[in-house]
Amino acid sequence: MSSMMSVAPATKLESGIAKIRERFILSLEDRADEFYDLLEQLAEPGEEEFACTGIRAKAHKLHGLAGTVGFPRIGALAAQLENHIDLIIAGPRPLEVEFVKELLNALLDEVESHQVDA
Amino acid sequence: MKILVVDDDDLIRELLVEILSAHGYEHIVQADSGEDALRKIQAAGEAFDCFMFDIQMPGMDGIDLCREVRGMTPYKQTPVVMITAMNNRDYIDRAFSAGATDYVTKPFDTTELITRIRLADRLQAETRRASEAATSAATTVKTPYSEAVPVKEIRGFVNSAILENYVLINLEQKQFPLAAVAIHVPELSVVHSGSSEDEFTFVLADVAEVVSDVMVGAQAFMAYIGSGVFLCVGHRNKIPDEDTLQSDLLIMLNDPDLVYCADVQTNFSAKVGQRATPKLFEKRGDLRFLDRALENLEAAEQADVANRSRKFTGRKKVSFAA
Repeated sequence: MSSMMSVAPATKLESGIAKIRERFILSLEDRADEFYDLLEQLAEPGEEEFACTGIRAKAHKLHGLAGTVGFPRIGALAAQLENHIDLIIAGPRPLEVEFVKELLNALLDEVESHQVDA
Repeated sequence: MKILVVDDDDLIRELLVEILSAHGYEHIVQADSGEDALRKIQAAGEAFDCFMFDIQMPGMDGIDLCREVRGMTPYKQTPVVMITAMNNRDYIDRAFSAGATDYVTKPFDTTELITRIRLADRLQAETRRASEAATSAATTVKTPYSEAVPVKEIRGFVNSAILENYVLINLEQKQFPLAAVAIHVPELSVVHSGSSEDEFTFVLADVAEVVSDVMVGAQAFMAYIGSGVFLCVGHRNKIPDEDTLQSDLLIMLNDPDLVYCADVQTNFSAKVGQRATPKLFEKRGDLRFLDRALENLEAAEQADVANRSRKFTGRKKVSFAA
């Protein structure tokens, strides 16, 4: 926390971030459902690229937000997934998506562990 | 300070609002897309003092939005802080090229975010002060030759404050090895003394375009820092060597198809200093290598004194020390 703040604004900031954190935890179930839909799509022949683009967009959002609201591991796993998809999208076709599935499953495990906590 | 925060993720926007308002920045407007942002900018009664744009958004992304905003007269100089979840070089280069002044990375570090916003606040205050001073000054008074003049709409050219920001961010994130090179076009002095402010700016833009062309491929950002001197910072391994740069500059500056201005001589020359690089023992925020690039240029010109009677004098000292 910034040392330039007085106690009252610091408390207000902590309370504000705590509320956003709660909403983030509540959003995890929907986020996981969306990832599961995309994981199914990823298994369909010819749909890999479209599914990867969708997974990347959602992982990108998680990467940006999770670390700030106190879930650095979710953020780190989402970043790995995002970076890996960037790599394979820039590479040859057909896309090799097996590792995408593994990374996504690891991310989902982490997300679901916090859903239980909630 | 009135800030427009643009991000397609409502939790990120709320987070930014919480952080900014806790630090005294309470006049915040939110937009959930580039298109929504443009509508809110057009409808704003009181102008915005600072923008924060997420780079990656569906539809119009933050880079296109930044370019649109820079096309609006009231916002040509307004600080634009890009928000990004990645340290991707290409995105960052494109953001600076589109006119961004700084960026912050997600996940947010509260202290760093506020430092960036305070910097934007100071930049806006300084721009406003300079603009008021320019308006109140007699219109016949030209900017002295020794002072920097902004070069607009030439690829890779930014003002010297933004160049410093770009270098600092690159050093912090170790994105690629940097080098700086300084270039002197001495005939700009004659142009300056024999032309109006507008004519000088016009010729300067043409010369800057040639500098930009010779640096193409070096991922370079450049600034005109006054006294005919251009400072360029780019990828250490992609900046051409001094001899190649100098030879290319001479050919291109004197291209007969390049008409600078009816009353301006076109026999330009150029001197290129040895490139300077950050030293291993220097801290990441240390910009002394920019000073060294300028010193290398002076040394190269002094070495030419025996052959040339011209002296490179009067350049205003610019310090880039950390």
